[in-house]
Amino acid sequence: MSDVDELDVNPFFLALQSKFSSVYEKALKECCLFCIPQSDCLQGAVITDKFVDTHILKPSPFFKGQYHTIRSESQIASIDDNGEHITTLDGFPTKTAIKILNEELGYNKNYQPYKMLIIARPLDQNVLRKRHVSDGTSSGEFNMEFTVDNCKEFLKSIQDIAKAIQELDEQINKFIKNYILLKDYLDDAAQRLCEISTSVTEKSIRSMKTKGNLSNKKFRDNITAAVETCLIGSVHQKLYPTICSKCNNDDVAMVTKCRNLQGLSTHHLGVPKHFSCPLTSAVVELAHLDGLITPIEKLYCMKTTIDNITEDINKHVRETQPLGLPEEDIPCLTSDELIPILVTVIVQAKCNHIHSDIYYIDNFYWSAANRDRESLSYCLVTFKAAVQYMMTTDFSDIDLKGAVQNEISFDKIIESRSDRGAVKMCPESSMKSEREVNGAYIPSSSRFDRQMENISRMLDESTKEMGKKSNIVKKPIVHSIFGGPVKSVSPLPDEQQKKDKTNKDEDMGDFLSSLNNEFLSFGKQT
Amino acid sequence: MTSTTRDVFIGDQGSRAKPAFFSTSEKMYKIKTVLVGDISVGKTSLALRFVNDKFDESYKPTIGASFISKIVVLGDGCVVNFQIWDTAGQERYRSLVPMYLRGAHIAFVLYDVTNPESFTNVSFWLEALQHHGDMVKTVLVANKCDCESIVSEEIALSFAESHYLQFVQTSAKTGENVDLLFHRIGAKVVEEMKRVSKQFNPNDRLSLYTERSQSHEEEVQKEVKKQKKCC
Repeated sequence: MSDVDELDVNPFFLALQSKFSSVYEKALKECCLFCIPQSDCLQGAVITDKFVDTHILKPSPFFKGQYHTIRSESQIASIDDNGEHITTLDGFPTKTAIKILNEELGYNKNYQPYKMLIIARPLDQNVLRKRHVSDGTSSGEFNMEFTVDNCKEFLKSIQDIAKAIQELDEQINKFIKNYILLKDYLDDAAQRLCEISTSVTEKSIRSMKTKGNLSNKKFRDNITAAVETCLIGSVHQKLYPTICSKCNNDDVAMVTKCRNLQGLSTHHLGVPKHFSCPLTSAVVELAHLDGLITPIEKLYCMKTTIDNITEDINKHVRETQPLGLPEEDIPCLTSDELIPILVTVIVQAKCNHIHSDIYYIDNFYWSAANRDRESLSYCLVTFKAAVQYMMTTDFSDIDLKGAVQNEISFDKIIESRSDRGAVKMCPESSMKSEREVNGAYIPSSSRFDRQMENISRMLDESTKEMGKKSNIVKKPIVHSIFGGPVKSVSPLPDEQQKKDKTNKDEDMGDFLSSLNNEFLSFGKQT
Repeated sequence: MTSTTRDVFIGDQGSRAKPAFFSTSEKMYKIKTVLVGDISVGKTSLALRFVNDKFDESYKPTIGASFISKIVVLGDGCVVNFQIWDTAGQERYRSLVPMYLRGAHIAFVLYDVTNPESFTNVSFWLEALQHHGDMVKTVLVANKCDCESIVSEEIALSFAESHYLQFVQTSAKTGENVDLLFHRIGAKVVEEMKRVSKQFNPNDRLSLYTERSQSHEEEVQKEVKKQKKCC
């Protein structure tokens, strides 16, 4: 390609003449040096003002052959004597010699000469931003909400993989019918389920006829995540009680610890005052943990809890800091504060099976949610750290007697629930409030709804556990996850509601006693 | 005149067992970087300086300043996503820090040049790393080098040498050597990842699975027999 052609099509040069014309005009007037990365290395890039400023250079007033960018005088580059390379010196992340492919001489309005160098690649690739490829709801993609029903719908919508999904169905039934879960051999169960998930995913991907989708990593990730979620969601009823049984001692110890630590505040744990604020949304989110089905849902619940803590505290800090304080002087939340703050949230949320949930996530979550893997992993570790800190620390030196325990009473929750019910108008949300469809839990759209559902779920579970705890594993749970004969042990939503109602009436005594045990109340900081 | 590159790189540590974050399909190397050290040595500031300094569009603070990711392009064109995990420095949380080290590719052990105690405690952090971190690279970072140093540079250097560590002096306040630190160590880790990814054999997992399966089968047989007897 000739140089003229290159400049005609070069995205940087075109942007310079249009979007950044004022900078261009000024640079022409001052006879600046233009370093124009060749078109090939700018495919799909966004030309930003920083990119422009980094590639327009002025001669150094001190050294011949040296230039500084118009972005910063400390960004220095030099052109070697034979004019073959331009070398980035100070102010760039690395010292690199970049090949000069060609040189153009131009003249400004005053007939003063200026140079344009076509260079092999940008002077600093860090200022190069890729244009975001559409996040994509097209080509079978969806913004993955890790609910079993969503994932089933997604897999069902892809005709090509029907056979692979049928096999998944069979494998699930086989696992539910034949596999004997032993609490000391859960790693084997994890291994088997992981094998099923991997094999079905591979078969699904192989059987895709529309190869266009396969080149899309997000699409493949979605298939992987959907298969994993459906699999674990379907065996949850068999699997989770065994996990709870394995972690029972730790769970009980944790519940007792939380009960004993009621009234614990961040102040008791030495968190600076500017980070102390009510964290109701985080508590409510975490209280929802027990009611979730799949590991990935639980993991996202933990992440949302931490996100809520961060959001509320950041907001509080910004509101309480003096106006005009530079951004860098505003205190930011570090791990030294996050762990104790999380401890207070855990105490208030009163999760019944936090150790079981951590075990569940550690062992039964493999590939889902690739895109958030690192931040989810950080959240899980932070939760583990907070839980371990609670379990290994003696809090007896903290005087909690004087602490005010601001609990939301159950009456208030019921009251607000009915208020909320009156407000709920959207048919979608009412559909989502049906807790179980084919044994699958569907989280509702808002945190408040989820809190309400969590309470109902805890009510159900507490009544179920009273009479049927020992039968859960032995009872065969056979149901198809993708159409066909469904023999779910979960009652239909309507029946469930009726049953709930009668159960609530009959078991009011148990219910009240469980209230006394503080299993069903929600803590609140005010 | 002070030298602009005060970093002295000494030796290499062992390699990781497997490339946990390596993704060939995206040609982006995800590097888990943990910052450890006493409280107030400047761990958070170092991370924030690295991500905030110049290129604010490419970083994403997700969880306060505790977890930050930043994508950078190294000199050779490799795209690296630094996942920076800040850890707690207070004594009461020290026992929790090892949890954060698992699977890390880089550990920056920081001390404050104006605080000798933070240098003394470097040994503790290194021990934690030895037991719990399977690092590719560990770097001893002398932070706050813009201030008058109380900890002798010679002592720190000799300590680093004796522990086969790489050593660098930084200032999170002025930004001195911060970018350089991440870029140089990042490049070394990428090199290591490329090498290890060629050696990693996915079939290793199969034999482990078979062994475990057998033991479970035996246990199930026992359980079934037990149940039959009970009936």
